[in-house]
Amino acid sequence: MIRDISVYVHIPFCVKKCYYCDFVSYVGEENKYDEYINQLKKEIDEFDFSDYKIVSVFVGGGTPTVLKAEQINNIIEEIIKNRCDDRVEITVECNPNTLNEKYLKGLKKGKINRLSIGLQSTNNKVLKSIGRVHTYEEFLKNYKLARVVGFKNINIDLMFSVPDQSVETLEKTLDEIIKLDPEHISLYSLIIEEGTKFQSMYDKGELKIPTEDVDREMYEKSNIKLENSSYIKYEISNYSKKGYECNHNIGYWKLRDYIGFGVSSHSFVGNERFSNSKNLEDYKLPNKVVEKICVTEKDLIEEFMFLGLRLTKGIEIKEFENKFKTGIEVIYGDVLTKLKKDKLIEEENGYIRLTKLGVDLSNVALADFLID
Amino acid sequence: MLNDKQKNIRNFCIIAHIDHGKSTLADRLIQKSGLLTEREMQSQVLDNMDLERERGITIKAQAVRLVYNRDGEEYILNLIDTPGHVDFTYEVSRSLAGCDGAILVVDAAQGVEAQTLANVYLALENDLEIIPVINKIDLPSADVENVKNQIEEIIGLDTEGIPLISAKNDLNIDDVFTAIIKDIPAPVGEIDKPLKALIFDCFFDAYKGVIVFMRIFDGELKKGDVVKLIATNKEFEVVEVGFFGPGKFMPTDKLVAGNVGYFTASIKNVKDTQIGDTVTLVSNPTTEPLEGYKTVNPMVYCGLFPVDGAKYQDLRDALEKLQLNDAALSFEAEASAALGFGFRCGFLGLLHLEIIQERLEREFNLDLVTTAPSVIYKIYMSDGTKMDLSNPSDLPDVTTISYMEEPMVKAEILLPSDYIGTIMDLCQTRRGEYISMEYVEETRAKLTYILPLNEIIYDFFDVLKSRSKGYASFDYELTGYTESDLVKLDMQVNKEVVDALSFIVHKSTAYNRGKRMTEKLKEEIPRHMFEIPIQASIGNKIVARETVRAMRKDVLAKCYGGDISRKKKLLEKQKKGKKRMRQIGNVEVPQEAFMSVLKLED
Repeated sequence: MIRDISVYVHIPFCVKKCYYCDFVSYVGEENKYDEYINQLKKEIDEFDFSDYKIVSVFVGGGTPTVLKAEQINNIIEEIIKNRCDDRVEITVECNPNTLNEKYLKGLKKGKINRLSIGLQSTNNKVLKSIGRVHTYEEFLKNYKLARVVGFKNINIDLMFSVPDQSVETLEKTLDEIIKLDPEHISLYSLIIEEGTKFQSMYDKGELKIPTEDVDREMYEKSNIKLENSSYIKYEISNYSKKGYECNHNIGYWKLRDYIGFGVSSHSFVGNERFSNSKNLEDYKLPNKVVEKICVTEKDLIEEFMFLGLRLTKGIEIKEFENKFKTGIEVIYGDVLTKLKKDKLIEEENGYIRLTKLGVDLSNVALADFLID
Repeated sequence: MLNDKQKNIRNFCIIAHIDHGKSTLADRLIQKSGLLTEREMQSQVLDNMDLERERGITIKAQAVRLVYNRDGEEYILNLIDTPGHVDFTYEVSRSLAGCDGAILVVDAAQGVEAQTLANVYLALENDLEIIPVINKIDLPSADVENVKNQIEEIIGLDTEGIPLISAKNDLNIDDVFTAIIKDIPAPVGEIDKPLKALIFDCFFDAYKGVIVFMRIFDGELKKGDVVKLIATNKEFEVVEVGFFGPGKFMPTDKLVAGNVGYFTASIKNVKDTQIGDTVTLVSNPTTEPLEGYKTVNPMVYCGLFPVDGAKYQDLRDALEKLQLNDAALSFEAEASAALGFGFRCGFLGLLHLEIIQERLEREFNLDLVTTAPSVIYKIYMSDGTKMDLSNPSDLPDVTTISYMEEPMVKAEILLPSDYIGTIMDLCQTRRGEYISMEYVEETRAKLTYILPLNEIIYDFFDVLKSRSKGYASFDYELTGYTESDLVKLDMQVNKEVVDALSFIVHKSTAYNRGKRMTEKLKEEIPRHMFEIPIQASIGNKIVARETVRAMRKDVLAKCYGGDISRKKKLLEKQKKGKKRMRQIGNVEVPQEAFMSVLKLED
């Protein structure tokens, strides 16, 4: 039987490391790009796609667009070959700082049909505080060029709860973005991750970020503003025009298979989750896979719940029961009762979903779906 | 009359303030007497337990028999190593009673400290010949002349010809041997008299039963004798008698007056062999038991609960095992609404408590929650009856109580004069009653206070040390009970009283204590989905309040690419954290919260 699969490619290079980012990326390694691309192609060729149908491709980073446009197109060509048609969602992440008209035209020549542009804020002071290398104006110019060149599906990444941001600056950012009418908006609340510049600043008491109360106010106001402007919040941090949900991301929440290529990429193929080394040098080795976990039925049940509940519509009870051949009450009866009592989840029309409070406290709710 | 053998015996101990090098000197004497080669010499032979070695203190008394040759004569030197802490004062005094002399070790840099003095007094009470020794003379900060002056002025001992040594670096150790042989008297005592021996320690051996450490004053003891222990009135047939070799027991035919050694008699319970008791023969008993025996009662109590409720039986087994060797440890089952099933345990003092707690955790692999230590209060009821209260939760309805009494101690604090102000201030806030201040020399003073025991069992020692930059030292003894205006302070979490956090405090400090405890609990209790009031109350009256605000946000915004295991690990951590908590009503309280309220710094 042919199964659906998503493909992720990691490009671990950046011009500069942003202060909040803990994804694997190397700065100042331009001379390693070619070798890395060769390695990627080799890894792609070694994967047996014969039992799979590719349903999405996502090139992320790092900053994929530090590479030449042709290089990105070549990598995508290596994946697609004749395995799927052009209507499959093919996304590339871009940093506004790396784009220009020629570059965008170059990208358009290939099969890329969706851009995900990391903007984070329209306020230049905020951009500086979080370590971005671009200004809002640079973004604006390139966003408009992307439209001119012909990209019809664009995501803009935004952040909130970051330093120098108030509820008002965030609202202004959203107003400006809504005017640009992108098909998709990702809006992430800042997480202070280990090993980032923000963490060391936070530990020293040097990081001034909004309080939890302000964070929730920001989230709530953003939800209202976006939903009033024909964006549908289909996941905790993701909004889109109708029909423009990110298929690649949905795959993660719905337990679709995915194969990751490149440094630090993760895969879920068959009943195994595995990941590549985070180290650029180790990635070259034949034993680049550093972690491999066999996923049991119990794991799948847990993941179905804690991933699926991130989606606004929640999980479908019937789907659970078809997939696992058991009643959801048998496994989670007590948990569901407790979480309903605590008003963290609700049930409607055969779906179980997080309430508004449940989203705010989703870790509390989702942890309960881990089975002892 | 001294026989030939007795003439060459010396029974002595080493006394010192903590850290002045007592155990190091003991090791050096053992090594120098040639009993052990360098290789066999484990550092600090006498401190057997890891815990003793780590903390640099002696918990159990030990004894070793050294054979030393000087000028063609063979001497038997019996060294009795004593515990070095105020909690064990009684044990120390009994060990000293088994000796004829004491080596007083004084650190060349630290000089005379409170325990140095306390130990000297104990030695004098037992009529011991005291030989002062100045140790660590090779330290850069050593000030031998000053320390000599202190010994002469504060203690009143002659320092002419005093051995100046470094036990660690093997300097002038022969001078110590010379002093032992020359200045410590040989034991007196008569073999022909009825047996009279002093028990100065004992320990439980799984194969031989209790091994009783003793000093024979009169008579002799051999295998097959039927002995009687006078205080416990128990009789046993002796199976083995012997000496203490370094790190091992050496059986012999008989022990005679003047000897230090041991016997075994298939004794199952250390409670039968009380320290300080007199051993005699059933067939020919002495008519005069040795003086100084008393039963040792716990002074400090606390609850010990297993973190994992299923380990209750393991905890009981562990306590029983420790008790085999520690007659001063008491315990009985206790049930707490907050902490489940555990034990109310009695200790000689706070150090004893900490040692037992650490041994339970290390040697028996138990995770424990300890409740606040309590002393024993005497409760006088309106109906004329009286009770001893060691668990605050058991306090009867206040309306039925006539009055309460609390235990008091006399504390002597020795300190550089610079710190007198701050330490007097500390004693004042701890409800201390000033008794006296003497300058023991130009820059050092001795403060004497009467303090309530319940004011010093939490953190007094830590605060004393930190306020005096480590220079003040402190010793205390129980003086009796005093009527006191005491109240029970309850802590309420989300309106529920947490029995394990109840305290008995003096009314004047209740408000302050309540305030600090609510503040501390606020830090320790994680935010929940709802607001949690934390209140301190006396009866129905709320004296302090804090609020743990409701949690507003606990969400992972990102999807971490396809890194599902990372997400799962985060959730697992969350769930695990929850499991380690104690449920109080609908509030989850971390185990640490129960412990942290014990340490409320100023």
